Amino acid sequence: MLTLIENAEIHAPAPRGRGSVLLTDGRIGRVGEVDRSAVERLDPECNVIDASGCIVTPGFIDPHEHLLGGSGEKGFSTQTPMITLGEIVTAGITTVVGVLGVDTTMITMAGLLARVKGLKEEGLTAYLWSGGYNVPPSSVTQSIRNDMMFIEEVVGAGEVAIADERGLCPQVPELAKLVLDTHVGGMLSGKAGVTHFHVGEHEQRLKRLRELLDGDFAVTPQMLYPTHIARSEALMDEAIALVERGSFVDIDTADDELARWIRYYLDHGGDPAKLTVSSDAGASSPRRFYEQVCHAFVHARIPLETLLPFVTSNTATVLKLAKKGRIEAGCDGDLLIMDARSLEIRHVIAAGAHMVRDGALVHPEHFLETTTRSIHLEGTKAS
Amino acid sequence: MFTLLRNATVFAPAPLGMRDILVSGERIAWVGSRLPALPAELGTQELDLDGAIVIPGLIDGHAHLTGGGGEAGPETRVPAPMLSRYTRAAVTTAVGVLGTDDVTRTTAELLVTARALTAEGLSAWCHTGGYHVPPVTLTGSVRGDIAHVDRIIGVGEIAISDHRSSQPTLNELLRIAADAHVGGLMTGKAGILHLHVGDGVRGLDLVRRALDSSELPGRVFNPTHVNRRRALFDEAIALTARGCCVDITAFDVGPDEDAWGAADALERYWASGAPETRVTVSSDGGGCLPEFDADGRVVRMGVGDAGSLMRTIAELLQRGHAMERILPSMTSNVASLLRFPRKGHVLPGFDADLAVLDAAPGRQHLPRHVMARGVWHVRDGVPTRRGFFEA
Repeated sequence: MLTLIENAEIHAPAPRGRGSVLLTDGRIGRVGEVDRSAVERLDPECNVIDASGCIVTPGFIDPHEHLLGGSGEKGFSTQTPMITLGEIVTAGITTVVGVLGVDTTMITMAGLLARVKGLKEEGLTAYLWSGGYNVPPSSVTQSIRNDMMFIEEVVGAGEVAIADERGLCPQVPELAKLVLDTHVGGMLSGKAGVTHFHVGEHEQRLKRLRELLDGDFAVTPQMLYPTHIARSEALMDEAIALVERGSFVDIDTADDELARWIRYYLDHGGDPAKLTVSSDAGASSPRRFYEQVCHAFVHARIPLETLLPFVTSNTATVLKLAKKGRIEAGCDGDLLIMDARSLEIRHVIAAGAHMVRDGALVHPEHFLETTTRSIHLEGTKAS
Repeated sequence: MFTLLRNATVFAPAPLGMRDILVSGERIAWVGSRLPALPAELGTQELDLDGAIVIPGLIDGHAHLTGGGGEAGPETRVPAPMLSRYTRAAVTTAVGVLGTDDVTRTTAELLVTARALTAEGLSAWCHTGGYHVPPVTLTGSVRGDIAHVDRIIGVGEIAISDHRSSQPTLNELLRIAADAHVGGLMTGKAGILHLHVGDGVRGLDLVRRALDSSELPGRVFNPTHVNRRRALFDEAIALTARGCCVDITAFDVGPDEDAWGAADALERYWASGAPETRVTVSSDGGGCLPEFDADGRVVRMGVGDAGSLMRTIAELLQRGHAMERILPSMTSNVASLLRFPRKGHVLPGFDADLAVLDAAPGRQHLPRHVMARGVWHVRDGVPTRRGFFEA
């Protein structure tokens, strides 16, 4: 019933000093001083975790994973398999947002939704973007707005492709319709209702987004949430300018350069409260996301109070997840306990459930209970 | 964070005797004797119930969350009951349906009403469809609705043996039932066909033929209003032997009517020896209860009310029946049929949906305190939480 974490350096993500965190019924009940003997009197089977030498942070939020695997851009045999629970959780990710990319024909929204629901059944928090690269988007029901209102797990539209040959060349008026339809869906359903843009390599970069904002469309910067902004310094500069107007932007960890681009962003005046980091898992992996975050702290020496919001509270804010991304009483019990120096993951708690214990996944996928299969697949680019 | 109820006489529905109950967050954390005192710093609220009876919050498996009605013209569309109509009747879980009007009332409206009530602290789900065939859906299919939409658990109330029905054929009914059943298999949700049975003499004939001519398990077919005609009720009892769960509607019955009130119906059900887990009682709250003459004109219009469930309980208690025998039809049986694993019981791990009853004479049908998902909604008979727009 109860979980008590003691002797931790609490990063909420802001540093809160040493203390305890009490979890009850999947939520954070108390942060700070907790009388352990009182808790054990109440619940003799209380799960007590000694976090000496460790930091405790909110569970990571990954706003962009191809949960069904990546589209096969070199043919069907290059589609990658679905992302497993183990891959996600051992990377410290407790909330994930699934997405479709260029292939919305053979990889479907219904399939993505099923995977999201499956991960929820396992104990993670999972959502999805609706639509995929193409405009008009491949929604489940008649529109993104209807998807947002009918389907609990849909948080917005995405990943809508701009500046990319694979994006079907969307024109600004139809983009405006999509963005506003999604925004209205968000208002009516009490959810984020932002449009998550895939920015490709074309030199047009964020031109479409500026056209949306500068035209007569009533589109506001808060409705726009582009990712892959770290392709080039020119793109980063445009992203920083967009942030100044009020948008959130996202860097993916598919390359090995997270620290470099965080430094560039901050050195060039990017608002630290409006940057998020995602994995773009599919061809890339959740593991790489975690490793890049570690590297940014351990080797590139980006301080935790700067780094952690990019993968916790900032993401919760843009996705309008009020109970996520923070260690505060009333928030969801999603916590990571990591070695204070190496950030090696010791424990992962998702919705109060202890999923990784002493570094090992203790909650294997449900489907493994009834199968004779044994799966181990290693990409040639895996570290 | 914690609420401790001391000295409760708990019916889980099984009679547990005098117990303390600890609520943590939205769940019941502990039910037992002599829980140690909780330290003040953990933020515990304590309430001594002095032996008062505590029962699980009632689960109303058939309520018109959007308001139903409309059978006597547009001015007879029933307004949506607001939050405290449920909670002050000790109903903490409700399942919504569309009825005769599945044209101006929509599944979308039903879904969002269920979501609104849930956001306000109740637990609400709904069936897709309404009286008519083909059923109105969001995604184009019953199975699609159950698979895609979190709060849709089955299809209903599809009308049979009723002049207001679509006169569905056996094949149409089978197709709908199969879609619901497969939707249930895919999602772990109820996956049932909730059937409105009218006054027609064909009664439950279509259900018997559906079971005879298909492989569908009996539990998929869930007829309601089965107490509206005495002969129909006998048919319903017989169907339980084939695995069906049957639902009694707690409406008022006049002295000369060929019908059974809910209390009478339950007594007759128990006397029949049919499996006691296969009967439920619902309120049809928010729906209208029209009476039609031979020409199909409305001669009287009542409105269903969630309070009819507690009144049925009080009536049966007065007739000397044991609380533990009465409760399952409005709690654990419903939870079991609808596959709500954390509802319908006052036991650790279940949702903290509770009612504390009033023993005072003349007040047994009015709960004293009601808690929904760990939050008080009624204290000392007065709603302490109201819907967003309630006066």
